Amino acid sequence: MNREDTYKKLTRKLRESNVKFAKKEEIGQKVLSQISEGRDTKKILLKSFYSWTEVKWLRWSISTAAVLFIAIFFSQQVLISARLSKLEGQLVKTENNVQSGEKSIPPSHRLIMNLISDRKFDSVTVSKEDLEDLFKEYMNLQEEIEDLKNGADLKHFMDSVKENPVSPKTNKNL
Amino acid sequence: MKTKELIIKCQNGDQAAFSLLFEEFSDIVFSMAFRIVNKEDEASDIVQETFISVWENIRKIDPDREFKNWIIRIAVNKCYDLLRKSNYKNQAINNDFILAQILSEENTPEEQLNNKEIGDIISLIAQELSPKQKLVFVLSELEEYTQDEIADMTGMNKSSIKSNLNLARRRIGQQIEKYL
Repeated sequence: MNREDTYKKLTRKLRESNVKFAKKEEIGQKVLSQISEGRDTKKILLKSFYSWTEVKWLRWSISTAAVLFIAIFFSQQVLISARLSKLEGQLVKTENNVQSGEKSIPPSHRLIMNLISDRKFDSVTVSKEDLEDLFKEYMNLQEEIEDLKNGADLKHFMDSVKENPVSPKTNKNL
Repeated sequence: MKTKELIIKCQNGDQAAFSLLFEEFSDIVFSMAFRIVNKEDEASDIVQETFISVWENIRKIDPDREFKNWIIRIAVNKCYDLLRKSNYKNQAINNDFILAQILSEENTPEEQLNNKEIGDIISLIAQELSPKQKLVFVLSELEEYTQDEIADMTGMNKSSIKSNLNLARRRIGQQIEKYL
């Protein structure tokens, strides 16, 4: 008998020999119990997950809270966008004033003037009087600096030194 | 009851109908799995896993489609995974006298082989085969599926099936020669 005939004989023998499933009952029971358990577990999980929806007051309060949160969120968005656009407008206006304002007034003064004029658009808590005082003080200081530069006060200072000679101690302090 | 009706009932969650499906198809699945993995316990596990997969996916199947091919495909994939994972080539076979006895007989005796003998002989002759070659050999030569059916079950193309089958035949022939 050659190799091919032997191969055919062997495969026929293997084909014709029926394989017996000895544990059929046992495996069948295992499969059925597993699919039952699986379904029960699924049911229990689903029930525990969604059981709160059966409580009416909880369902209503959670829904109301959700609606409130959504409303708050949207109103905040509106406020933020309005605030941003206002700030953007102020920025443009300030920039324009600083760049194209009256040339005789220094930019720093123009900025302060601008702030005062825009006070009504802003919620800065400094009063108008305070700002005006600050502005006046600033202007006085500016004038004094200008005077010092021109030497007016230097002359006055020299006169006062002549009238009241300064002690070495005082000079030391100067 | 027809398979189609059973499938429809199973799709509606009827476990009794599933029990009937198990009764009808578990022998076919076991036979195929046992011839591939050659161990009763592993083949039983494959049957169990296959039917659980069937239950989990029963809603996806079209009741008009051939159920047998679908369930065999699930089982074949599980067998193939097992073959790839386990080092089945190194399984020690001490029961090779039964093969020598069958091959030495002029006429094949009428008596059938038992599970252990079938498992041992297939393990012995297929020990040099790759998982794919063994799969194709069992499905084609022992389970007598056509190449189209094997292609459908395994996802392999026909030329691959042919080449794997030829290689399997050659290697089994060489293995048999040792006992002639």
